[in-house]
Amino acid sequence: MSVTIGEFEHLLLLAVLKLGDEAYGVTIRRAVEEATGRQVTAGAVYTALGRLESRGFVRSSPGDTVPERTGMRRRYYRVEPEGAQVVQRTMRHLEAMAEGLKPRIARLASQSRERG
Amino acid sequence: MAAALRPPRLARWLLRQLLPPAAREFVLGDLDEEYSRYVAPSARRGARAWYWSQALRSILQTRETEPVMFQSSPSLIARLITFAASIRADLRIALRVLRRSPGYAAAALLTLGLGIGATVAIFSAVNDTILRPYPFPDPDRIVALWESNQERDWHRVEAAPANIEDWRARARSFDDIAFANTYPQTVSLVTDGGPRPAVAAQVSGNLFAVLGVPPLLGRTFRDEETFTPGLVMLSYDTWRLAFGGAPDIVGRTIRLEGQPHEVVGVMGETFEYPLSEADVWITPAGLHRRRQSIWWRQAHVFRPIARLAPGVSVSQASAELAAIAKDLEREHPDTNKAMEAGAGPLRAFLVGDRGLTLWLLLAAVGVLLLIACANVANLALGRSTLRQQELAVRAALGAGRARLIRQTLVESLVIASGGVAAGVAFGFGGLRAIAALYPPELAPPVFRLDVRMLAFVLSVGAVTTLLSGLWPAWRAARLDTTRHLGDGGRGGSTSRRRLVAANAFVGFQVALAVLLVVAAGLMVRSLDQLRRVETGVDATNVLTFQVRPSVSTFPDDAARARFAFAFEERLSTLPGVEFAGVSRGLPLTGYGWTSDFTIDRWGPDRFGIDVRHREATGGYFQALRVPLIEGRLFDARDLAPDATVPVVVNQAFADRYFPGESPVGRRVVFDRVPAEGSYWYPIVGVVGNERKDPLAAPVPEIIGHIRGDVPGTLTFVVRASVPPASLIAPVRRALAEADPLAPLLAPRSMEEVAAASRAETRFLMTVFTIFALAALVLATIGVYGVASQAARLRTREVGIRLALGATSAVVVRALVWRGARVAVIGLGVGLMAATAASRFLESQLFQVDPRDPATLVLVAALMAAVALAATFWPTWRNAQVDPAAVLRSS
Repeated sequence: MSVTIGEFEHLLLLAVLKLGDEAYGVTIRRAVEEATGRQVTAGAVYTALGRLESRGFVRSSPGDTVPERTGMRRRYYRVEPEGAQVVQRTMRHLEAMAEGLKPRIARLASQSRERG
Repeated sequence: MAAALRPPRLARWLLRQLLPPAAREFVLGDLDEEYSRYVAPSARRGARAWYWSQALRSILQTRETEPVMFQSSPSLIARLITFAASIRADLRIALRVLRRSPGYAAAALLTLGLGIGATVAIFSAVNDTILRPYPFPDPDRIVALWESNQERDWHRVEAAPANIEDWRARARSFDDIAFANTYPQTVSLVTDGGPRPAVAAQVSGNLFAVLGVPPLLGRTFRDEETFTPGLVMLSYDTWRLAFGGAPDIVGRTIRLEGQPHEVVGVMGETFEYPLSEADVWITPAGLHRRRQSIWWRQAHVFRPIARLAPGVSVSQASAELAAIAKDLEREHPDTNKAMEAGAGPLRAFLVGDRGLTLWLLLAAVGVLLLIACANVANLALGRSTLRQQELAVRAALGAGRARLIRQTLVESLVIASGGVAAGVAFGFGGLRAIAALYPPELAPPVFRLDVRMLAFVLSVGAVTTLLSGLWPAWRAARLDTTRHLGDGGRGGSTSRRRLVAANAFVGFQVALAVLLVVAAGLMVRSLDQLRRVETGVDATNVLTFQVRPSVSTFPDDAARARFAFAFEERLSTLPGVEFAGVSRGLPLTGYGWTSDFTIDRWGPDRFGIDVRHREATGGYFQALRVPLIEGRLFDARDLAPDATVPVVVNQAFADRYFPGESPVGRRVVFDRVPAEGSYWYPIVGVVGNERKDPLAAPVPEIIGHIRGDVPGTLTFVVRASVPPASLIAPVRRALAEADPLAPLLAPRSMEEVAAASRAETRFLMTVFTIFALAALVLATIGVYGVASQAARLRTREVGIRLALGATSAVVVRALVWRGARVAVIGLGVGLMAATAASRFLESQLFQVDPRDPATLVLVAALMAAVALAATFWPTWRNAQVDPAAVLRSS
């Protein structure tokens, strides 16, 4: 079985795992933004999580609301075993590929920065 | 405060409309929560921008990737979005094409950006002044009330307090009637940092209730407090800036004019009635003592406003007021003769003629935008000639006609969007200039992105896209594929036909430019006329300022009079001062009272109505160099305690009421019929006319010695042999000795006062001149561009003619004339349009005929010269070719 996911989806799965019981739109979005320093929109988070859910990697359930949400409920996410597997697999692939390459990558990366 | 944390309403509305239903709860809820919890509290400024960016991008991202969800709710907007997403390919091509021709893109962007920027700035003013609802509940139900009097030539003036009280008691059309004094009154406010001038607005106790605006802190005045002294309400800015936003401000006692006042409340930031610059609101308690006097029905000092009762229309209310005014005329014939009353919507009343001015500016800027669009269309047309081969290839490869049209239109769209973005940025700056046009009752406009503004900007973008892109797109669709694939693009009859279109654009541009240049020319002449008006005073080297002697030190009229004379004396001893004087108000500021009067030895039925009167000292006339024509000015003998209070009259008064004789020695009384206790003022002199405002002819005027009625605010005028500004510091020191509690108010040179009276005309002139110059430049570029294209197309013809022996001068003359013809036609059309349109300008002109022949001739000559030069240069350059080379190349 060769199921793959993109970098963004990977980040989302990790965020949901990290956040545990507190994983819903706002916290997930902020976690990814903090980790990457890129601006991520609520729309993108929603779309990607929907895709992950349709593939059975996460499961969502409607939860509570707070006054600021004017009655709109939060949607909490949990990672399913299949999701954890795909994360594990992707990370393993990356690690296998990067085996012994770390010094070289670091050197090359710093060079390219110098050249501008 | 909680309101400030609510996300931008428009962005939220868009989200609600455009998100796929399944995403709505999730995305909207998340964004609301995050906005109010994390983003807004920590980054107030960036918060709205953050929300907008999140909203717009979320809409695109959820749309793009979820077409299935999308089809389940195919609303019109949703379908439009799908269409927009499908032309992304076109967009990408357009961007690539534009990146390859940066010169063209920059020229088009700049042209449209300037045009749109000016349009956005003017529309912001229109939006803020005319369209945006007032921040009151049901603003349409608020009306302004007025009195008019044909006999006195009063038009919608302020009402007398007694009449307002009677209206309030009798009228059934209103929920309630409130009133306010709309003249800014400067008072001294003691703050934590010492005394400072503050603008006070006097309002009736029920004003806030009638407007329906709650306070930010504390309470507002109550109905029964209209004549209660010692109460004050603070504006938001005064609370924040003068009292450091103290949370316990309500209930504190502060000193206003040296008197203790209790702060009952603070108004919110947006409340600015009756004056946009009001720092404090106070009650008209001081007037209470005059309630029993005839003054109460004679002094037209308050602007009444009212809230209409449910179901009552403005015209019904106005009719009822008119009927009550008729009754009051019968009941009080001495004060209310010919006095009418009426009501009208508050907005229309406040905006008045300014509304017309703004629409006029919007029309002018629209013309400029049209010229800009024509230029961009011409640029695009020129490019489409160059791209004919590319387009032909695409057509041959199967691109449909619609597809080609769309591609060209998308390019225009890209340029127009860039222009809109640049324009909104330019518009911000332009707005600040417009603020000069605004009187104190109206707040100067600011740029607000509301629904109306957004709709306007979007439609301007759409219109510019169509105007600048439609014609080139149509041309693109009519390509003759086979011919262009064969031909090297040298262009035969197609290019000629294109030239016809370009010429039409140029004619159009020249006509529009003429229109704007004529308008600017008329405004320039108008300002020139205004500068020449004899104001009757010599404004050079005169310093003016105001002082309100503190009530605690100078409690009554007599004490204030002593202060005035002593300080006038002190001022004239300052180094560099030639004369110093005191008065009530300044010339050219429109300030003053009017009264009825009669003269001794006039018959019992003879009286004058509505003559202007004010008070001054003799030094006032000397300081402003108002000439003494007859008799004498006020002097030291008038200060003796037992001396009668004298008056002087102006030349206009003498001419009107004493033709052929001298008024000096006669006596005047300010009543229609002198009564037992009436005061007879002897006329001791005749002085020259001063203008009350530069647009009006001099009116008869009586100027009494200031001893007779000492105003609370004393206006000083000081003539100096040194620059007036250098006197401010010594004057301030002298004032600090004479009355340490009184701040020096509004120190200005008389020249500044005179310039301010022309500010509106000057502003209009500046704006029209800028528009006209921009139009001229754009039209010149248009003429030049077409002339160079025409010249290029005729290279062969020129070569042949030269080879056959024609001199280059002959060839140039023939071609220039051919090229200039279209400009001449445009000029003719423009002049006709200008004469037709100029009547709209008439109300803005001062002593200038809207069809002023000198202006029209001058503009025609200027335009013709510019068009000729722009045609001549490329044609002449082209005639310098080597005929042999040209003939060889073909």
